[in-house]
Amino acid sequence: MKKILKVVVAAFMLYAVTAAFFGFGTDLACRIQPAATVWFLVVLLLTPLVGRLFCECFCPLGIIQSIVNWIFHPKTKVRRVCTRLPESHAQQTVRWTVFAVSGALAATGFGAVGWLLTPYSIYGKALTLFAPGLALFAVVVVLACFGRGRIWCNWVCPVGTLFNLLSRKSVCAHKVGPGCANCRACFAAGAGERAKDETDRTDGTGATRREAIKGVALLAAAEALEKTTDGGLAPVSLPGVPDRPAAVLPPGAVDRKKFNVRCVACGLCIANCRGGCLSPSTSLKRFGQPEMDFRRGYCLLGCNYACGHVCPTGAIRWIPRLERKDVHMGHAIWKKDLCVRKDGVACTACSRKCPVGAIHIVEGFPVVDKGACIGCGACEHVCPARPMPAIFVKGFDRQRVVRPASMV
Amino acid sequence: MFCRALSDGREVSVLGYGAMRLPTVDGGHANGWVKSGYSESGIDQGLLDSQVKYMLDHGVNYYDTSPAYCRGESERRLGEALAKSGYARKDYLVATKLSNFAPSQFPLDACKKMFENSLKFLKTDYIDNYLLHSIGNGGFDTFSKRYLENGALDWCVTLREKRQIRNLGFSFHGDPKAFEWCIEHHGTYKWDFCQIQMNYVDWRHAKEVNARNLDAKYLYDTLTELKIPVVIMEPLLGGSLARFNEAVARQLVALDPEASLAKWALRFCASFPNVMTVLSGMTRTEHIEENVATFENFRPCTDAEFAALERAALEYLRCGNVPCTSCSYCMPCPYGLDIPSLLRFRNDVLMKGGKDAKEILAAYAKAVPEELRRADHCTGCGLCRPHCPQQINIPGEMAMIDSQIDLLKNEVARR
Repeated sequence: MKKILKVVVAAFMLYAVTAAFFGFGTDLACRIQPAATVWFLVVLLLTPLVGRLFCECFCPLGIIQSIVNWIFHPKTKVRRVCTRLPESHAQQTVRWTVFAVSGALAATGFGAVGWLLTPYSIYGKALTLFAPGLALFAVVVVLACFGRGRIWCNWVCPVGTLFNLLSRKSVCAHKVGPGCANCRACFAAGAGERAKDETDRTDGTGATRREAIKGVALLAAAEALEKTTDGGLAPVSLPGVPDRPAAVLPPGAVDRKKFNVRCVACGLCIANCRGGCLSPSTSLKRFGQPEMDFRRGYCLLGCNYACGHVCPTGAIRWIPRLERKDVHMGHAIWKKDLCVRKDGVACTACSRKCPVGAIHIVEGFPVVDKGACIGCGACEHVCPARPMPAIFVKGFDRQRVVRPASMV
Repeated sequence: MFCRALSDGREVSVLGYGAMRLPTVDGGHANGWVKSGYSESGIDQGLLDSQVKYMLDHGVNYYDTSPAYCRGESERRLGEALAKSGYARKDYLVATKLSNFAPSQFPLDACKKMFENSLKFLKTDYIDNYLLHSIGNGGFDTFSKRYLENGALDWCVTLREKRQIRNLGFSFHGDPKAFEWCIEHHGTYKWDFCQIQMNYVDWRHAKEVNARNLDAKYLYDTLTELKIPVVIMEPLLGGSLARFNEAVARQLVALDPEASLAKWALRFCASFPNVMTVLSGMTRTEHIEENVATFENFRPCTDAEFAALERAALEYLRCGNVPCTSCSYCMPCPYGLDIPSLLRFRNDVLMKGGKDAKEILAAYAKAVPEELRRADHCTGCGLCRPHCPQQINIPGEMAMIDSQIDLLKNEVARR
């Protein structure tokens, strides 16, 4: 009975977290992820009582490792036995080193790297097809193929180490008898019944949400192009990433410092971004954490804070009561040197696109109304200047919530 | 094949071939549109050869091209297909143009070079019908600079005297002043023919589509009074009148249930006695076959049919379409936009209604697959505007499309 219950819970949790990444069943699926929310505390408190419930039933990586174990070694009672066996010296060294280093990194402001080896981070990065996540995910799966239990959980995972510590005195957990010589012969034994894992064996990866980046050549300067025939397409290219003084964080990530610590870089917000503008950071301090990349989209004014809605750690807050245009994430900065207008081109792209009417063309040049600009990046997205956009957004360290009482 | 006699006694087929939309290898046409987005692949010469052969076999003997069409490829490809057809030069008529685009083409030397190239590409030593291309497009000043101040028109007259061109005419889009000027000077220049945009919508309602237009009826009547034969372009409004439209079809289906909308539109134009040729830019062989059949058993429209077409025109206008014919004169947009595909998406999907926001966004992604070519990247620079023969406010339309798309995106994001 207990086995069946565990399998059902595990199947549901795996479905829920995977579904959240593909944008269906989002509401429930996101609320129940026990990644550093109140739920996590509940699970943490329950652990001394019921054992490593998290690794077995909640953690997507744990569940996937169980499935892989079962596929390759269906006869071995691995799961039951291995976690209770006395740990080898090497195992202890590896796991506590990882735990200490991760903790230290998180404590010193390198949270994104510190969280890198945590399960939601790996699973999320793999599902959003972020290369480091895919690589780590592959390592987890390959290790599980050896049929020696959830090797990642027991050797590397810092969260697994924490739960291991807490579950040592677990009331319900299986105990290893005093006569055990750690011979590990039990691994080979095929005896015993095992609850069939009814979890869907596929890991649910599908086609990428992002469109392939197209276009290679540089945009021809407008005035140089003389039209003598009809038809044809001018070459287009994506702009470069501007050298912004500060990255733009999703709306609801109110305080940059707090956000950097809280975010586990799971990628759930990236997968659910409606505007297609969130992407994982490649900077060392914020590795994998979401930041705005306006090359392929911009933050939509009508969006119901999808990123905040799905965030399992509360790093991005869900603030549905605030109108989207009252949350200022940053503001636009215009550089004359890069702008096509300095060459006399009658471009008004940024001003046309701005959803809050914050860009005015004054005496032939775009002027940003910094009070009205919310940093959505629409101007940066449409700016035709290459290789760098002439207008780009600088993110605020503290996002501003503006309630213009005088304007009501 | 239904033919009419020219003043010099030659017979011209009333169905003419317009070489602006030559077939491409990917199944689209060379001035634009494939199933999704803009065609970038090369012209399918083999298919073109067989199409031209088929048309010549069936008596289609009027071929209209321009140095500007299909990114400058049209003349050469058409010339090749005509040469390969096995027919003698006297068996068909070729029309090409002194094109009206970049200021670098304005000096008389550049005009002469353009004409020499036309002869070379079309593999001939004379042009049957030579046109001043798209007069009035870009305003009267452009017309004046392009054809009058540089002496290009006078030079064309000398070409006609030398029999290097047999007939001199002009095609008209745009500024009415240019048309009026040509009509006033008919005594001097003796226009042998004139090419105008005519179809059952533009016949009486061109002004409703755009206030700066002249109704085709006015143009036709004016030219007929002066006994100037008329060549028709855009009889199908770039295919818009051939695409299914329920309200339009309802007006016509009872009179001839089997006829396609294309057949109705072609018959409308060809029914007028002063129409020398109706040009159709047929990309697909099936279109050629269908249109050839229409003209092999040609029957002019009756009064009842004219009345039904007038009702159909009113229904068409009610759709609020922009009159884009996908001619691609606006292209290439220096910022890479795919303007014809965007306008077609506007007419066929965005303004049609009856679709869910997600479906419309999916259709948008299909219509213009490359994100950087979509409407939000329009800079509003307006370089395209003077090129549009239909006087469409392209930057305005782009802004409209983008704001609609933004609304839909936000609607989906709110869910």
